[in-house]
Amino acid sequence: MTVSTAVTQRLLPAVAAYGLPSAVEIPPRPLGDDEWKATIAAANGQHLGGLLARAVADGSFPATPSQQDAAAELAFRATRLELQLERTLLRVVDLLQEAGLETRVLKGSAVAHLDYPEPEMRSFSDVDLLLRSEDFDPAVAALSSSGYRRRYPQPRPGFDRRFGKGACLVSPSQRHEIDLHRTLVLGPFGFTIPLRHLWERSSSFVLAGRSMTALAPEDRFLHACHHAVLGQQPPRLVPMRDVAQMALSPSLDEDQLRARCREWRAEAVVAEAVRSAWDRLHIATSTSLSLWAASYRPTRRERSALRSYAGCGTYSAKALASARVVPGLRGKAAYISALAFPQAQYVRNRHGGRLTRWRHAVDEARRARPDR
Amino acid sequence: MRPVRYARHEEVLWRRNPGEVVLLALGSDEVVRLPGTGGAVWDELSRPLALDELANRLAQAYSAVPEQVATEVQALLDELVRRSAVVRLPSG
Repeated sequence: MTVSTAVTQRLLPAVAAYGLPSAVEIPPRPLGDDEWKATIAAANGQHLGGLLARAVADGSFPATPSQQDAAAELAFRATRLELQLERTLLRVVDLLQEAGLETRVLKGSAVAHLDYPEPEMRSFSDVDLLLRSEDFDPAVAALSSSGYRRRYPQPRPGFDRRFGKGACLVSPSQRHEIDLHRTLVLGPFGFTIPLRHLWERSSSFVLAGRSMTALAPEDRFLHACHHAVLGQQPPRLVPMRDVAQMALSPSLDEDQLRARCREWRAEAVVAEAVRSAWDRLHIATSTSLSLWAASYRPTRRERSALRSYAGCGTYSAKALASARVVPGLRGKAAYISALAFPQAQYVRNRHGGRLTRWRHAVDEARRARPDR
Repeated sequence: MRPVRYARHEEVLWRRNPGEVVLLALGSDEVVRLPGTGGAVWDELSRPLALDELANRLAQAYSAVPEQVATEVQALLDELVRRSAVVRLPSG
C-alpha cells in the first residue's frame, strides 16, 4: 500500500471517526515521517485538524512529541480561521437583521455548536446562511452596500430567488466566503425540498453572547445527508462524519425524520448518505436508521436523479436534471431559457466568453450518458 | 466594599484546543492563545471573580503559593482587559 493510499483509505477515516463507535483500525504506534506528513496535509485539506488534535492529545492516535506539536498547531490554525469566520457570520447576520431579513445558520458553525460534543471537533472554512426566496435579492443588495461582492452574477435577474441554490459572496477583506442559500442543494433534489419547512421550526445556539438561529435537528440531518451525497465528489469525510454524528444522536426524532424524508422526496439521498457514512467510517453499531438505509432500494427516477450528481456530475448535468422537477410548464421554460441564454456578464465571469461556454456545452454533451 | 472582580467579556468567541484556549474578541483583530494555566484562568472566569479568589483557586489546583500566583495572574488579566477579552466589574 502506498503512503497516499494508506492515508486516504485507512488513516483519515480513523481520524474522521474519532469518538464514534467505529471499527476502523488505528495505527498501534506513531507513524513514520512520510506517512505523518501526508496525514497532516490530508487532514488539513479535509478540515479534520480539530479531530486529529483531539485523537492525538488523548492518546487514541499514537504520536511522537513533535507530531503532537504539529497536530496542535494544525488545530490552532483551523480554530483561528473558525473564530474569524464566526465573527464574519455575526457581522453578516447583523447587516441582514438591520435590513429586516431573517436567517438560519447552516452547516459549519451551527453543526459545530449544536451537534458535536465540543465545537472544536468540527472544522469549517466558510459561512453558510439560509434566506427566504423573497429575501434573496434584498439580502444580496444589503451585503453589497457594505462591501461584500458576489463571486458570480446570476444567469438572469431574478434567477436566484426563483430557481437558484444560492450565491457566493466574498467579504470586504476578500478573506472569507459567505454562501447565501435559498435551498439546500443544487439540482433536482434542491427543487423537491418544501422550503417553508426550513422556516417552521428551528434550533438556537449562542455566539459571543448572541443567539443564532439554525435549522431544527431533523432538518440539519437532512441537510447533512444532501451535502454528503450530492455535494463535492468524491464525498469528503467531514460531511460523512456529520451524518454519522447526527444519526447516532438520541435527539434525532426518527418519526419526524421519516415524514420529512417523504415530503422532501429525499429517501434515496438519506439512505445513500447513511450507508456511505457507516461504510466509510466503519461504524460498528446498527440503528433502526442504518438498517433502514441498508435495505432501501431507490426507484428508477431516484437513481437517475442521483446519477446527475455522481462522478463528474457537472453543473450542466444537474441543471438538466433539475428542469424535470421545476414546477409548471412556464417555470420549466423560464428556467431552461435563463440557463440557455444567460446575461453576458454571467457568461463572461463563469466561462470567459460565449465561445468557451459553447465548447464547454459540447464537451458536456459528449460526456453525457443516457439514463439506464 | 467588594474588590474589583473580573469576568469574561461577553463579546468574545473562543474554543478549547488540546493544551490551550484560543480567543477572538469581537472588537479586536488579534487571536489570543492561552496555553496551560492561562486556559485555567479562562475556565475560572466563567463567573466573575476577584483577583484573590481567582489566585486562591488556581494556587490550590496547581499546589502553588497564592501571592505568587496573584502577581502572575494580575499581569495576564491586565493583558486580557487590554485585548477586550475580559472586563473589570466595578467594586461596590
